Amino acid sequence: MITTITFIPLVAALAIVLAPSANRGMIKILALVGTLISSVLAIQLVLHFDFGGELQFVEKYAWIPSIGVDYFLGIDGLNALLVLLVAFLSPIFVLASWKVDEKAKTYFSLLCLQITALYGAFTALNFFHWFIFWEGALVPVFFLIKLYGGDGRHKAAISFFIFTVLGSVAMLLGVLLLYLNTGSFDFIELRKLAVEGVIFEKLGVLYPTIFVAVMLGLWVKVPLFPLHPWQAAAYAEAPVAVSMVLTGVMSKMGVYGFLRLVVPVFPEAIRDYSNTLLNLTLITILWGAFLALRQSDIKRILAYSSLNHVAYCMFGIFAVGAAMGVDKINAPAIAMQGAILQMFAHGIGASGLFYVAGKMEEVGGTRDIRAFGGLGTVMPRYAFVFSFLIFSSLGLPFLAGFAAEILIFSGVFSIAPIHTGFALLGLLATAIFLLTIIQRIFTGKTNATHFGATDISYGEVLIILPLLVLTVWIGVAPSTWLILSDQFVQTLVSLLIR
Amino acid sequence: MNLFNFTDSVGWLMWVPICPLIAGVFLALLKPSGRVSAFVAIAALAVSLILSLKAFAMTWGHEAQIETHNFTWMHIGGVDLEFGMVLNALTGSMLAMVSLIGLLIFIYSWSYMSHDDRMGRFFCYLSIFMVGMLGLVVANSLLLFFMFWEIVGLASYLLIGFWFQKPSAAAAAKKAFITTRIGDLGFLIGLLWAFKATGTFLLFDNGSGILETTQIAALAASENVMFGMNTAGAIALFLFIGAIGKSGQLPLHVWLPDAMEGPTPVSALIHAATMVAAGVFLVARAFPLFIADLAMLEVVAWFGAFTTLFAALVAVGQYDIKRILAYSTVSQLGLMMVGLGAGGLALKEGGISIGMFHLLTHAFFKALLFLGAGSIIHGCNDEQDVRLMGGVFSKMKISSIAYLAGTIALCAFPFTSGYFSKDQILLSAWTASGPIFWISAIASLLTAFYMTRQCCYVFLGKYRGKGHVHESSPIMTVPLVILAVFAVALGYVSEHFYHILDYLSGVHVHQHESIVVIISWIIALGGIGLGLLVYARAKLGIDETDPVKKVFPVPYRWLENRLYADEFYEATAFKLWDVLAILITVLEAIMNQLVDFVTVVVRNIGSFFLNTIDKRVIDEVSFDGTCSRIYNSSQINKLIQNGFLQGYLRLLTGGAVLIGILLIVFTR
Repeated sequence: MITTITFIPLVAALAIVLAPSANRGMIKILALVGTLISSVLAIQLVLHFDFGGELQFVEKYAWIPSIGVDYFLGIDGLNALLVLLVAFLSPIFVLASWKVDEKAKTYFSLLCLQITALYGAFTALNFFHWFIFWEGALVPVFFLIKLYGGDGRHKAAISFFIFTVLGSVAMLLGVLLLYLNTGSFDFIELRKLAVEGVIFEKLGVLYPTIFVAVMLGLWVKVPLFPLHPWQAAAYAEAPVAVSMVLTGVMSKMGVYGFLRLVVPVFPEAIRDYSNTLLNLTLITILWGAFLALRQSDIKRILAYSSLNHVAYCMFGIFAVGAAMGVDKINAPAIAMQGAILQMFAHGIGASGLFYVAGKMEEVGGTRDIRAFGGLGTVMPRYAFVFSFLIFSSLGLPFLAGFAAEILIFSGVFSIAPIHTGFALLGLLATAIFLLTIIQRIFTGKTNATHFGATDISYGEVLIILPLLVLTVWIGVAPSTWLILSDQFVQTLVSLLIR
Repeated sequence: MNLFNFTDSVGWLMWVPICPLIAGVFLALLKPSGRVSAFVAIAALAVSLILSLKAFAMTWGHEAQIETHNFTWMHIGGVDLEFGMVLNALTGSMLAMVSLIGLLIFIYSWSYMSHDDRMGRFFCYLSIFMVGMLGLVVANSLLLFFMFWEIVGLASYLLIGFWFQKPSAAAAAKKAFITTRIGDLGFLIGLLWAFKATGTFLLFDNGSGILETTQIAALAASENVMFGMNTAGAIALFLFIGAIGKSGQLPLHVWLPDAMEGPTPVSALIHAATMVAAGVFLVARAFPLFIADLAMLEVVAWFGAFTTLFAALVAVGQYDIKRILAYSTVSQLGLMMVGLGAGGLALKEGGISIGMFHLLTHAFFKALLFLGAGSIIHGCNDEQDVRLMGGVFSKMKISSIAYLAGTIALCAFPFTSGYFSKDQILLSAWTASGPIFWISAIASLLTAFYMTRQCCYVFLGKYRGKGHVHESSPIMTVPLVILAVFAVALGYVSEHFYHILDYLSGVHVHQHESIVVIISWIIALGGIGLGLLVYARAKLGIDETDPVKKVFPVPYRWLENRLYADEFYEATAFKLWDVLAILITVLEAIMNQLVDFVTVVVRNIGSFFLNTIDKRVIDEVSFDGTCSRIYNSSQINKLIQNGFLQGYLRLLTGGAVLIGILLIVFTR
């Protein structure tokens, strides 16, 4: 089943390649249908997920037995929510690209290819083909930025590429060394070995090196300070839907990788280096927030905001390593649940923000917020949707951002109160730059050149509506989503805390 | 959560905020016409008022009783994050006040906003505000309290910036949100700490809630966790930071006067009667935490005392009718804090009564003053500068008399509501601390003085503005009259206002000191007399110098400039913040330059390497030429596509093959 879900977009991509390039409508419909079928199937699958159980819907076939490579897929509490995220977002990615007409064939086939890679990367449980998907997710994005991006696209694409490739190479080497010492590429198997203490024992002096090497690839992907400089340019220069893919899903791949490959396999290292890891994460949180204060390019502001928000996930995760034990509020579990919910909440909210930000370029021909003003008068619907997403992002209660962040902070405060105190400065900065966006774009006198601007159509509202509904849903009833990962988090936390 | 059981549990309390929520969502989604919107919002709030009165009736006479209804919001790793509703005297009285005043202001707005084509939107925002305000009053969970508290902040932001086409309104809205958010972060730390220390967010939970004896005793047992305070005191301190932000206390008061950019009913509802009182209410709600550490009560009292004096001074130097009232509000909120702090020192739990009683009376007379000011501003053709008013009394009799009723209550004229509540505060301060008493007394004298000054400007002499003065419509004046009755009579109606005090805190409150009563008479009458003496006969107007300024020109200019609080922040905190942001931006730019440099190097090495191999294998002769061509090439594009990416893929494939070979060798 998971295989079907993963490869339907690929089939759609092939169909698009074969379709006549003049028939753009057909190309777009093919892309939409392909992603929609996958989404429906994926949602169906998660609806049948047994909350109490471990790994489910497993598909495991021997592939290259001599080196222990299996074709191994499955869903557990960790990736269930992420599969849902891809399922909710992928049709929206296609719809958000509806206005792409130039070289539509290439564009939509790449986008579908990308979605296959995303499903694959979240469900693969054997390093071998996981890595193929992981790298596979890189290539379409690279071309999409390079071929369809903004003015600075060439530089952005190459910077993106070099960072992620170097990270990936480091990770690849790390995992190979891991394999040579343990004989397994299997995430579940590796986790078991880690619990038994075998990995720590066998790696010996190489342990820290391998840990760092594996972590580097993920560190770039998230990204965390100081490996983040590729991010802002890539997010800013990418076409709208690709920015959405990058911030909505790709940044979660990094966090997911940590929870799948680093935390369970290197629990000793996560504990030993927890202070350094927390400090770097804290720097990332503040770094992103303060950088966003001095930008005027809307997509750059949102990119730095993303840097800040995704770092909250890592904040929750690394804090678990610093926990001395389970206290009466079970802080580690709360922090980690917060981190997982934040992946979902941010994926939904940030994609929405990049989508509405894209509209600005259509209206004013620029991404510079200083060129706007008083749009609230001429585009009330747009103002409402944009502000709604902004308030979710700045952590307004009963919306998605708050539910996740309050969990992270509740958990982390018990473990590292001083770090939390500093991280709250990030919240303040976030409020400032996000409200500045509203102030610049929507309030004051309407810019004369925008008098004729047409408000977003009801069609566009419909595209964004699922995201708004989800934002409220996550914020009001986070339990719906948290229950998916509850069991997984408890197991993982007990693994980390002795 | 059982919302429909109206007899055995208090789950139905949730309907109090839910009613305006339904109205708000209805208005937001369906966008009915202005009149329909007003009707829907008012009807919904009327239902809330009925439920609030039921709550009030249930608690009256049962002050010590606390009823709760709790439910789980999230369940994580065996721990519950809980929400809940609580019904006690504090809830009952606050609910009744907020929904009653809210309803009157809603009705007033119907007329006040009838010419605004975004009236529907206005009532939508007002409803959202009531959701937050009523929600935090019923909340039995510190977390839920905080969440509604933030909703209140959002509504305040939307309403201050309601006329968002005005840049000053938009800026004021942002300033209010951000300044209060600084306080909110303190609140957040407080609630996180409470959660960490007690394992629950619930305030009352059959003996295990944060505010109940067991937990408080445990929290108070830990010595010197921060600044010599125990854990309870430390948590209280952070909660108090939240209260400082919301209630416009020094040093976070700067947003409140600017918030007057919003429509006048908003100023009345939010920035006088209810929202700004939320901070005081928070302190009253969490009072057991404050009492657990006496040092914390002193902190509260001192912050209150400084604020009340500071704001009363600034109010003397203002000319905008709403700004005078805004500073007056800041000052009165400070006085409430004095009531809570000094009251707590003097009377323990009884302190709640002292602060809350003034909160309730103030809500009525300050709402009255703002609505009266709105009526006067309307009547004077949207003029807000008191120097351009004058002679209003004879033209707008109803509004003026109502306004004067509010004024004497605020001045604590004997036997008005303000007199009773302020008297209690001064009495507590007398017992608790000499300096705080005298600071509060001077501030009260100034209050009577600046209110008299304002009334002389507005009501006496000849009209100095443009156009004609006219009385407002009955829809606006009727709420004024109702509020005026409350303002004068609220303390007097129950000649046993001690019952109210006992009711509010659930303990017996009785304090009496003849000398303090005499002093408070002197303050009220003296302040008014002094004001009349200076202003009644003076020549007033935009071209005239204020009589006080004639005597003290330099200090008066400081007051006119609001004692330079904004300028001070701009020169210090803002600068620091900017410097931080610039520093990080510069560091990031340096990092980017480094990255660019590395990129170029890597790319060149990569292409050199690949091209060397390729060309050696394919065509050794052209090696030199290609190399130099690539070195000289500036076509980044071409390089990546033709060199780097392919090269990478080749590396990847080569690597995979290599790995395969290695693996097979090793595994055998």
